Amino acid sequence: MMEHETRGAGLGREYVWLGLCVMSLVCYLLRSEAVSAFVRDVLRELGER
Amino acid sequence: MVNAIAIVVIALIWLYGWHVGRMWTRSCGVRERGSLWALACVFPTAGLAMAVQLAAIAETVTGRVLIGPAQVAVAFLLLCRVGKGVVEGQQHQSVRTLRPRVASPPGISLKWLWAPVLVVGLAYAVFLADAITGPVTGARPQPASPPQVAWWTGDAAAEVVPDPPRASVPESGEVATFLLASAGLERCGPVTRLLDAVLLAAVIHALARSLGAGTRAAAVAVCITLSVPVVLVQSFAPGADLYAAAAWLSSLLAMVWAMRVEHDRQRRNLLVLAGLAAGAGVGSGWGRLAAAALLVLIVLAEGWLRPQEFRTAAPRPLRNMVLFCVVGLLCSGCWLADGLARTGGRRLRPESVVAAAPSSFAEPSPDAGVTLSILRRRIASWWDYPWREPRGIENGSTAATGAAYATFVPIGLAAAVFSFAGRRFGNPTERWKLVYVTIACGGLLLALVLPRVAVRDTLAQVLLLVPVAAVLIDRLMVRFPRSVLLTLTAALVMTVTITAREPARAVAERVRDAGWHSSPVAVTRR
Repeated sequence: MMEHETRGAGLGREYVWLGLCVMSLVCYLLRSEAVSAFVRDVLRELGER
Repeated sequence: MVNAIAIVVIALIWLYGWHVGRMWTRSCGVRERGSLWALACVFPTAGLAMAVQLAAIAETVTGRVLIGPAQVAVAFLLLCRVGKGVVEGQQHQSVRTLRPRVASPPGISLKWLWAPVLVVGLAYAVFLADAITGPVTGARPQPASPPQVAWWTGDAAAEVVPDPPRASVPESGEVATFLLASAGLERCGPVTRLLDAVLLAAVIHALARSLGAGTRAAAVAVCITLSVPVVLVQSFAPGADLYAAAAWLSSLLAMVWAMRVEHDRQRRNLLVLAGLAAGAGVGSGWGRLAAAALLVLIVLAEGWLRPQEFRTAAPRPLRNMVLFCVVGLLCSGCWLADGLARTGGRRLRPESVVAAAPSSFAEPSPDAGVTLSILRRRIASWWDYPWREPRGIENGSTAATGAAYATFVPIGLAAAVFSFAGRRFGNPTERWKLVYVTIACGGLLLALVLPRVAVRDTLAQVLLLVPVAAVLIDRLMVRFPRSVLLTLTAALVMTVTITAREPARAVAERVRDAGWHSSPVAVTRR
């Protein structure tokens, strides 16, 4: 029981860390100037075509 | 023709030096293959930098232009022979080393790693195709802060070096570029730079393992490192930053092994290697001197980091520090003298040379000095790094750390700091992790305080955090291997698409027009 609880706690914690990693990726995609410049370029090129 | 032959000879001597370095490293008790091969590179790399400095000193003393590939080759061979003599003179001791035994997480097979490796491999293939098919000359000449190609070309050197000719030498990270340019072999430049990238990959893998990450997590750390735009771009374009980062991290790796070996002699020899690597890094720009000071902290803490069973000899922090600093200066002392001479109003080398070089980098001028207002401005610019590039950088893609880095590294650092809560740091791996994270945080602080160009000048400190993230990735891969690799692959695809877009387009245009270029590097005098 004890071991099960510990594992459960560990699993929960790792879910949190994975969630934070995904949030970090989303944050980068939203804030990075390199990404926004790339998206702007692609949209402009698509518009020109 | 003579220069081209000399370049081939230097390449052969480098391989010989690598063999000597491998003997040296093995005699120190390093057995892990990645570490062995990476640390073996330190000896010839530092040896070549020292050979150039010897030639520079000879030039200064005699007042004649002596530096050329042939003179460098002779000095390099002599240094390698001396190194071999030293290794052979070492007593053969029983070798016992301690390594953290880290089992690979169960349930993860290698097949899941193919996707990120493939994405990174594709990016390097695109850049390689661009380097092979593209023109050597860039459209945007940039001011030469270190002496450029001209120094190495006979006639041009005579024209550029003022009368009387004085020491005019490139910094360590540019040595290979200039040597190749002297023989008209600029197109082979990516070979030496790719070697730096491979060395960096091996070192990051070994450092991740030293912190307790499994082999697959360490491989993920390598993928993240190689996807950082500056690393990717400098693997093919001139620049000393990748070289300096690889050297600095190699020094750290040598120290990792210095903590694990049984005999004091082995420890001393590993500290010599660490000093050589740090010297090569510092010799690629004096801005890296502060970063090298961080390494001194580890040298001083070596006794505390050593496992209990290897504490037979008393710790000698002072001797270790002196040894590390003196050997480091051997590899960079000439550049120090040059810098001091320039500070004092004299110049050992002219700075008004413009060489056209293929570079994707803009050269933003760093702020001079640190005042409170500058510091406040930097904090305002950097607080959300690495999710947003520091403002004021013209070329955003090379100032970025990339999506994969931004995904895992900040969270990995937070997880590492979080894991320290309530720990007593009884075992050496835990202590090492504490020191490592402290050094990494110190590096970040330096990056903030020192007047440096974002990411490029602080590349070693930026990459130092990747092995920390590998520890978290290791834990996550046990539970969610597919989710982790899917997230990583998505992030890598994003970064690689942005970074490799221009080279891919250029290659596609060349293929369509069948236009290969082979113009030489242009050297002009301002």
